[in-house]
Amino acid sequence: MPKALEVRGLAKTYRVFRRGSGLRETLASLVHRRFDAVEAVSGLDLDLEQGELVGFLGPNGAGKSTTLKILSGILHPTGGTVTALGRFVPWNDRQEYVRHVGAVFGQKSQLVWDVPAQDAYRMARAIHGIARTDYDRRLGELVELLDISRTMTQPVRSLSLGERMRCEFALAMLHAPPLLFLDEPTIGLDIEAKDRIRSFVAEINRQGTTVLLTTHDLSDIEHLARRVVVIDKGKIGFDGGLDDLRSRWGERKRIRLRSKDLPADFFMPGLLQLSRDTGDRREFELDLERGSLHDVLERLAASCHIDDLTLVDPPLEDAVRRLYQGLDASAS
Amino acid sequence: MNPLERWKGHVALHLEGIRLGLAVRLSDRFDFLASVLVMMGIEFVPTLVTALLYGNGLAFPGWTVREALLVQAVFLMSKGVAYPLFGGMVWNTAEMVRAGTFELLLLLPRHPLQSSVVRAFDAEDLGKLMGGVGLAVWCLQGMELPGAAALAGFALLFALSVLLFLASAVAMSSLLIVWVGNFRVYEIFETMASLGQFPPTILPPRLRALGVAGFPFAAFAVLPASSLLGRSVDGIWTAVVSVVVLLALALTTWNRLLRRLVGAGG
Repeated sequence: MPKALEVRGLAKTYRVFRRGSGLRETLASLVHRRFDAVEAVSGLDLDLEQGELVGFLGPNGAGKSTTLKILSGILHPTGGTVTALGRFVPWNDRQEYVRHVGAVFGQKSQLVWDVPAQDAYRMARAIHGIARTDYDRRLGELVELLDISRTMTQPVRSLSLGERMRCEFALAMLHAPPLLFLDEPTIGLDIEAKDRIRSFVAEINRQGTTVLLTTHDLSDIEHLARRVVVIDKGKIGFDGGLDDLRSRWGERKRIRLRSKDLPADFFMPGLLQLSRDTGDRREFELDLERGSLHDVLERLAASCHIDDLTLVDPPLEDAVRRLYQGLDASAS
Repeated sequence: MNPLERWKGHVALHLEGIRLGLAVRLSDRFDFLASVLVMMGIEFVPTLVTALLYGNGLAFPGWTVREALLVQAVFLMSKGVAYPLFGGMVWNTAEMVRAGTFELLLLLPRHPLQSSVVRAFDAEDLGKLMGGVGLAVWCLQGMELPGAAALAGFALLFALSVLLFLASAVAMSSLLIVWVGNFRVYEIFETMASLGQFPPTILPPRLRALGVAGFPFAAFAVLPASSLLGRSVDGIWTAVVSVVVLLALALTTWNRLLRRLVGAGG
């Protein structure tokens, strides 16, 4: 089976107008303009198998959106090659390629503000040339999966953000694309709305849709992605499983403890106290490369009476933060 | 897909665009009706000025009041066809480029120019068409009715007028793709186009020559109205060539500038 995406040496350089903030420089820019070359994507290699759901992470300005725009056929790169679904070059075969692609942008609506979403669905049917029977069946499935039978009949402007995003997903999936690009699809949503969107994405991925998910919300990644690709300054900084990401920058454990008599200066190598509330709760983080969990638990048991103790993995944010910091340091 | 089915698909898409455009405008009925009336009122200012001029004993040299007003009626009719169909493209492009959503057109399996036109239908400009037809009927009363040849000539030149509006809309949109939010483009066009609603005899010879070659604003109304009136006008073929060249240039520019689209937010 051909790969969903095969990216080699992808590069995109923007020409950005540079102007100072002073009056003299502003006036000078009227007659002489200076431009900087900004490398948004630089020699990026990436493979996506069909049916994969990959989290695509990176700090602001890392080149995620540019990459997504190139992969979805919106932008022309300045270098490199992309083969999508085994036969398309996105920017050259755009018109045919996008028949096989769906996209949802958390901050850019594809619905029409003043009319109900179902009007945009009819327009999508005409644009994609979907046969009436296929359209009715597909819309029925999406309405049920996303629970939008009522919301799609109301003007988009009157919908909550969560309702609107569900309608956006129906629009993006109406032509049953095998490849879906998501750019911060849960931004600004409440927990319940996020859960609905995540369930939907998991379901369509289970049905075979390949998904490339860009987000800053790492709980999206934890809920959905088995593989994570991290990009920074236009280059891949990490490509692997979620557990790899957690362990690569040092395996850690968090120890949440409730004890009335633990000494305030309790210390062991590799153990860092993160918080202490006014009562008897404390939270530590143990670097497992520098200290043994067994030793720490033994010392704790010997030093105090433990009322409660919980062991948890540090949040994914920590691993990603350390990864970003590591990438930043290696770049400079 | 065979060519017939492809054409049926295009027609269905544009009809859907018209239906959606109507739904959008009718979502606020009062605003829609008010806009239609205001549009008609604004567009009738030159007509009013012309009527006042003739009422005070002045005249455009060589043109009766009904003939002069027929030029303006044709101008309104042509605008009334062109603006609802693709006039909105200019505003849509400006707004979408500014908001960073223009690139979403590229996610549709159509030429982005077609997607832009489909989303541009604006019913409020239909007021111009209604006003233009009404004014033309009044102007033609009391005149000798045009023959079949004159009507055929009018139909062809009217189509040329609509094509010129299309070329202008495409040219303006293309500039707005890279010239973010600059509405001066539209104002410059409106000023130049407004020259086309007056009989050419009021213009100096050089400007009159520009009206058939270069930017052939005479094609907006003077040429089709002259055909209805059975008047001969110099430079019809020059105007035809100019419109075709302008349209080709506008389409080429649109496609080239689209490649320079960067979009907002990365």
